[in-house]
Amino acid sequence: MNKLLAVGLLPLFLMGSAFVLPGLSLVVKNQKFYRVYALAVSLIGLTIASTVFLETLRGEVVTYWFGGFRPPLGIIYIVDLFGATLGLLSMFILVLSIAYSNWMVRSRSEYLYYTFMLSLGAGSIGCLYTGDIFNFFVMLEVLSLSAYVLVSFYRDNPKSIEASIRYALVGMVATSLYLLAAFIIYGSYGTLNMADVALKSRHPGVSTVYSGGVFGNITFSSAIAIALSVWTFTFKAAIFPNHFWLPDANPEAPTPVSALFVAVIDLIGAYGIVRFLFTIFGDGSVVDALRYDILFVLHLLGGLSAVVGALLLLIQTDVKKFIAYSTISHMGLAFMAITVGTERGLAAAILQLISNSLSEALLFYTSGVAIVAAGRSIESIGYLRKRKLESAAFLIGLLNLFGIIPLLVGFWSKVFMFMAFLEVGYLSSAIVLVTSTGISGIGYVKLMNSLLRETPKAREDSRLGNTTAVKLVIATTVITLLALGISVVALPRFMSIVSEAGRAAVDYLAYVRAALGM
Amino acid sequence: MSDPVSLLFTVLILSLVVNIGISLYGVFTRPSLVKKFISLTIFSDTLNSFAIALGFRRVVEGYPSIAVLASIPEDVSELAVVANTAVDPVPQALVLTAIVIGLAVYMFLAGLIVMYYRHYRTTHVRPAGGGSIE
Repeated sequence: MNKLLAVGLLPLFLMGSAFVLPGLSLVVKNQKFYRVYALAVSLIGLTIASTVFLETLRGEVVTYWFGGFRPPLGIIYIVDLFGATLGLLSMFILVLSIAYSNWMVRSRSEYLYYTFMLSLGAGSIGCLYTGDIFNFFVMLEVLSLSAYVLVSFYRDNPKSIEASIRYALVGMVATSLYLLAAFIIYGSYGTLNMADVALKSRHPGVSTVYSGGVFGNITFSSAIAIALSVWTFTFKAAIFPNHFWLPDANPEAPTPVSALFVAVIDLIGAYGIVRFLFTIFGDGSVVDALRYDILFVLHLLGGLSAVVGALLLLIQTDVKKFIAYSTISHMGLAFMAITVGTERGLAAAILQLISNSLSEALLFYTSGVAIVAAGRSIESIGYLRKRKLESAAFLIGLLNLFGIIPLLVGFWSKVFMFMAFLEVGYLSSAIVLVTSTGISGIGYVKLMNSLLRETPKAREDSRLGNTTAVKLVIATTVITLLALGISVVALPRFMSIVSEAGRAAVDYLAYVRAALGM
Repeated sequence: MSDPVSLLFTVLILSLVVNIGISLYGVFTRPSLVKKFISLTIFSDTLNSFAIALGFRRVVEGYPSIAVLASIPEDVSELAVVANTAVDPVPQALVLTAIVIGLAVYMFLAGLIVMYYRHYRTTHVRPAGGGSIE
């Protein structure tokens, strides 16, 4: 069997280590201990995620049965190359963000901060690895609750509290709608196992051991379930009509958390869309006719959010809001690539998600130094002039998002998206891609320009004396961006892995076989 | 529809749908955070009731039995009778989980609203600054 303990171990390990921390805080009072502890835990997490990734790289779909129950009966965790790639990405950014927090976050309740950082990672990994529709909801709530807590972490700041309340109220409605979708799926398919639903949505006559056959009109109920869950996923991914929370909540969070938001929360939205519309209710399912309409609508929304995000980032005067709108624009592009519906589109979307998560995080890490020194306004970026590595990294992050340097992965993700649009004849989408790149380019150049301006008055802060941790984090991110960009050209194996990851999301048969042990 | 059980079932589902609408109206239009909070709890309670109702889907005629065997049946066919008439226990387990998760979120949200009150001396959403919650 293709069972792997690491798959089940990783979310439990992260969750367990997260909630041991408040207990430890009663015994250990040293703040440094929490920092080292969180970093060590996240590094172990990254190691486990890499193990899972290497295992799936052999073309296997690995599973773990919780409690040893046979699949449709119990909760299983099942990882294909698609989930493993995104899991590796989110663990990587988690490690970077925790290392960065070691430098940036100073508080009396640091143990709580790291507790929720780790549980944010656990929720994200749980969403990516789970093979159970209800467990996905549970992990989504773990993820969301940690995010609400982290947004309101600076609780002396009324703005943080306000942003967190707004985010939590709407986020709670969004996840509840997903819960309703899960109930409806259970009601009509008699199972919560994703693979089981994927099988029955293509072959309604099939009767699985333990869960039996389908019940009632599954076309109608699947349509409702898709409608509800897609709303939740567009909310999580901050796609156009549901993008409002990101520029509201993200800037109020501590900077390392803002950096983590893209790789952890927005990523889950995109992942959920792919899982639901390609694996579970994919090509050839009972909702086939509707699926194309939904993909088309999502394609339009992705395009709108790419353009709207690009336009709105032009008028921002707050660095963190600027980066948040840039995220919205780039997630819109990723959505456009996903909803093309081809394997090439999915591969381009994966590359775009990787490039976007890394470079938005890089921008937050670098501008975080300026924020500590001179506040959140765009002029404060001028502070980075004094610091060579930080300003160079900031430029690289912007150029990667702009996507004009072939050495960086951002260029290649845009090229592959362009090719994916042309392959299916979506000429107007290709034009939207180029236009939104152009519009956001104006904003990026404006931000580069503020690097050239006179340094504003900088505050004295003890943290600015020793920025070794920041330099390490930034250097790692830049090297990763460059390495990925170069391997797109130099390593043919790299692109074949990305395409395989895209194919894994579509290949429901391998998924079902691995899950149900057929 | 002449059957009282299925009639009541239809009424239940309809009232749940109406309840979802009312509670979402409350979440998005009431200016008071406490009222939004209450509407949100009504919203998720409605969804949970819906899930409980789902457990009765196979029992259209007659009254459902409890999914527990009080004594060891002598005949195996009795098991089949229980399996066919009992309420599906899975939605109840799901609802339990959802309630526990909801409790955590609501406690946190209530705490946030208290902090909001300490900062602003009101539980109404401020119209200026962030705009309304929508």
